[in-house]
Amino acid sequence: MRIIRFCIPAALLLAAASCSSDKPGTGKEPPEVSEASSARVRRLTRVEYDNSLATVVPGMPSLSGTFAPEDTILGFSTHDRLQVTSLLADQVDNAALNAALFAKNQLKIHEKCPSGADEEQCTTDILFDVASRAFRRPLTTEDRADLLAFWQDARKTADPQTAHRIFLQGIFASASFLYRTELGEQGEGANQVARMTPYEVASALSFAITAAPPDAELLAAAEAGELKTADQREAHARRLLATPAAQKRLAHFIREWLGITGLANLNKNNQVFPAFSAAFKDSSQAETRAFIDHVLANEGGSVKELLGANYTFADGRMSQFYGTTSTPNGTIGKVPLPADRAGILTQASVLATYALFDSSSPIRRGKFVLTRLLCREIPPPPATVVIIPPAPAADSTTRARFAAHTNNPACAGCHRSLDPIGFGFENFDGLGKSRTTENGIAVDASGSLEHSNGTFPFTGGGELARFLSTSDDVANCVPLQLFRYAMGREEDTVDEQLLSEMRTAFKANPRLQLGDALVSLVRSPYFTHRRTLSP
Amino acid sequence: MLRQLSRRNLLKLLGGSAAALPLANLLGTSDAHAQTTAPPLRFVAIFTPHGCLPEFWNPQSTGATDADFTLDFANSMLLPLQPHKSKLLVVDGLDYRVLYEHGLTGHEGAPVTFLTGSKVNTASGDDLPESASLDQVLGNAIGGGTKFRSLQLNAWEQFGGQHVYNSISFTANGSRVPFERDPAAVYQRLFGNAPPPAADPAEADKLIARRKSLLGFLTKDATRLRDRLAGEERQKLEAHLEALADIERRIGSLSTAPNPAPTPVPSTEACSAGVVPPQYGLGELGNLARLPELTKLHMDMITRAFACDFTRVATITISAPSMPWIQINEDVHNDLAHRLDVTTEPLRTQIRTKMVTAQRWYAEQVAYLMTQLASVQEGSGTALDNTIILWGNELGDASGHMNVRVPTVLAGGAGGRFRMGRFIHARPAGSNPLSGWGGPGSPLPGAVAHNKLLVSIAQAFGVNVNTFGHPDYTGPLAGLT
Repeated sequence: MRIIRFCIPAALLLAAASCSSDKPGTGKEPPEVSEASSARVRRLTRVEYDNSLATVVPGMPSLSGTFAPEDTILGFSTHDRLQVTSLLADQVDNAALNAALFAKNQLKIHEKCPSGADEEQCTTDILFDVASRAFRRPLTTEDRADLLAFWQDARKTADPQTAHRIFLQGIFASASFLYRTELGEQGEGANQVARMTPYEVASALSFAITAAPPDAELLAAAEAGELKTADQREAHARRLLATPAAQKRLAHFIREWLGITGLANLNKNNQVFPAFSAAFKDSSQAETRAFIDHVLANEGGSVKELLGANYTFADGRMSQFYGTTSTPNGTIGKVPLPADRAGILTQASVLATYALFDSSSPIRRGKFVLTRLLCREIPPPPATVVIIPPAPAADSTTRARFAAHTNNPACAGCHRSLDPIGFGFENFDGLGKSRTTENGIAVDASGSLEHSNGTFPFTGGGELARFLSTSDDVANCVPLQLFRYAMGREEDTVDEQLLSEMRTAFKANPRLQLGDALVSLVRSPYFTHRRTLSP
Repeated sequence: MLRQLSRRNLLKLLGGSAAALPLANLLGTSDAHAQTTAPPLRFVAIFTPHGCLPEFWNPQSTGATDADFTLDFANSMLLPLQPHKSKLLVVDGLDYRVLYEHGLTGHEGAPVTFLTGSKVNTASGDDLPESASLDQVLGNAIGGGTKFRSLQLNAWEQFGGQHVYNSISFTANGSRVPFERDPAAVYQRLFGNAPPPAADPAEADKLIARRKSLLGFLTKDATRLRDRLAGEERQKLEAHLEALADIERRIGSLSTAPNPAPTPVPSTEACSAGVVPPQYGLGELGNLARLPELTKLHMDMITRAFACDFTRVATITISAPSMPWIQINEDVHNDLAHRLDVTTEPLRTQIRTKMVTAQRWYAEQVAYLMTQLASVQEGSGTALDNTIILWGNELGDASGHMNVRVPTVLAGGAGGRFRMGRFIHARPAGSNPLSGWGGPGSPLPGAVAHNKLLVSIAQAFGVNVNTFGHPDYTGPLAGLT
């Protein structure tokens, strides 16, 4: 079990709130909590790298397209194990060069700072401002000394414009730019619970919601010490949630949560699925993208809507595939779903992802629902078992072929919960097309789901999706998935209180809006405190 | 070449594995002494999926000794390697023993343990090893003099990202080492930053000075952050600093001075930047139909990188879910590998024939790399003579999906470290460790851990270890020398 049932009494956690009005960094404020997760640094993801460059130098094109992709942990690419490997260091080196050339042309320092006695002062004023914004914090005395030495060294061997380029390249490839810190003020003792610096809080909040560094308002709030209270952080979170950047971030969360980031490369046997083609893939992807965007933009990021909507956004091809009315001219638009479908789970993109090359897969669909929507763990099959899915057969149904699992006692334990869910999706084939027969035999799409309040019997994926859209188990799971995504790590004992608050906030509105869970996350004192490292 | 031959003869004379280890060490020392003349030894690991049909994978014996074998028979999966027979060492009966005795077997275990010899650790929710892979260890040990300690390539990756099935290279803390899937990007990395030839020496000096001031700043900045960290967080910045040191080491080679490598300069033709790989868009890199040409381009990059002595270590994963270019439109995993035990004809023959075709295609790719390396002259031999290729697989007998008797081929001249041109049995032919196995975590009697092969290869490169990966399995693999 990932959730550890150890609970720290709330009274112990919430130490007396500090009323200190000190400027940040001067004088120590006592921590608000007695325990906290470990201090750390987080490497920017590719998207975060691009967004960071574009924040420092508006108009900067995307440069991370050629970077090695992040691997995923618990299904998410935003985790805190990301490193700068040899390969990535080379790729960043190149990207930083291109970023520097672009920035140099934008900044036009050579025009603003003509050669003369004031050249260095004028130049470093501009360059240091770039560095400070790139580092997402004011420069320290040490920073200034290093940067000045770097500038002077570069200028020694290069003309001014080349030296500007070298300096900017250094900034855009530096560790201070590539990692955001959650360390607290320098000089905290080892193994202490400490507040993160106001600038670290601003970054953590901003990256969690927008995948980008703090904007001017957040930085101003950090400087003024106005991110200390939960309400102050909530105000900024609500403000940012309304931006397109936040919608993009949440759309990315939904894609990784539901495991549908590989849609572009989906491959199916089109001898079995004649409808499958490159054009189908494009249409299906566009449908899911448009649907998610709609839920985020117009439905407040409601998970109830995401899972239970009775409509989708289909072009002519997808409308025909679903057997529903099309938009008048066949371009993508809102269309009603037939009764056997509901929400994103019954979209072709999801159903085809959780299927095999040439058939559906009750096991994959069952595992998907259990692990991603209900946050349950499925242990890997025991090593004694030979794992061979039954071969497609012309005289049988997928359900009949897969049912053998439950007969083997070594497999039955897990498959008792996996299979009845997957079997309930058998009214959709491996591409997600609705079917009532398979190989001439009537399809049996009856299934059941064990949930915390009992058993839910159902027939067909649509019925299950509608149940899940209002399920308390799903409402408890989604905040956990969002926590893993935003915090970039697995939950731990110390997160119990925070997770409980996220769940309460998420469930307060029956529409189950993702933004409420995120706001609750950044309100928490556990979001702003870390246990310092002990060397 | 003479020296190698004499050593090979010496090894032959001494025979027996008991004598092999100390002798190898002795020769290792003389190697170091003779480094000014000897071409460097290289390592390539190739990983392909889906297992095999052992009866069609293993060579057929044609005589009394282990050198008497052929790959030319009906349904031979290794047939494309027949022309390179004298530079092959086919090892039968090697097992991913650690997967059985320490937890998890199956598809996920093999890529994790192939080069690490580690058990699979699932604590993170992901399947990861607990120690570094052989390419990383070798890269750190012997790559210090080259531009790149190692290269990690992937011929084709459907989903773009890294996951448990496509990654074979790991850092010491068990993180995946990212791979490159775009040959054009590999080319750019290898050759792209070289200054125009015959640049003005004063200008070249300036370029170097500028790179140095940049690297100086980056190192200072990363060091300062590192010094605030401890434990795993500190490790991240240590890895970052190592990567910066890699870049810094390459600054010198920007100069017009000849590469200070102590090796004979390979033919300029083989090393020259030559033809630039085409720029595939991200979409085409994910297009399965491109897999064969991408594979060849990657193999060419390995050859060039070796010819230029840019690196001495490379890994490549080649994994095709289906192979439309040879009329395998089925899913190789579900429709072929899983169904090799079908008993009804003609289906059985159809499926098994296609499996032979699929595995033969992978053998062709290995043969292609060998041919390319053999075209690079080095002293009196070729780059192939001085390379150890380790070709490993995800599974053993595909129909059982087992991680025992995993198809393993050593290829290349191995710089004389191993006695090539043979087909050997790591354990008695016909023995089956699974018959006496009590289940996960219990001993796998009679199995031969592939860790021993990793030890042997590490020792061949002068890395003085007696275990690799899991500490349970000690010593090198008998019979290689």
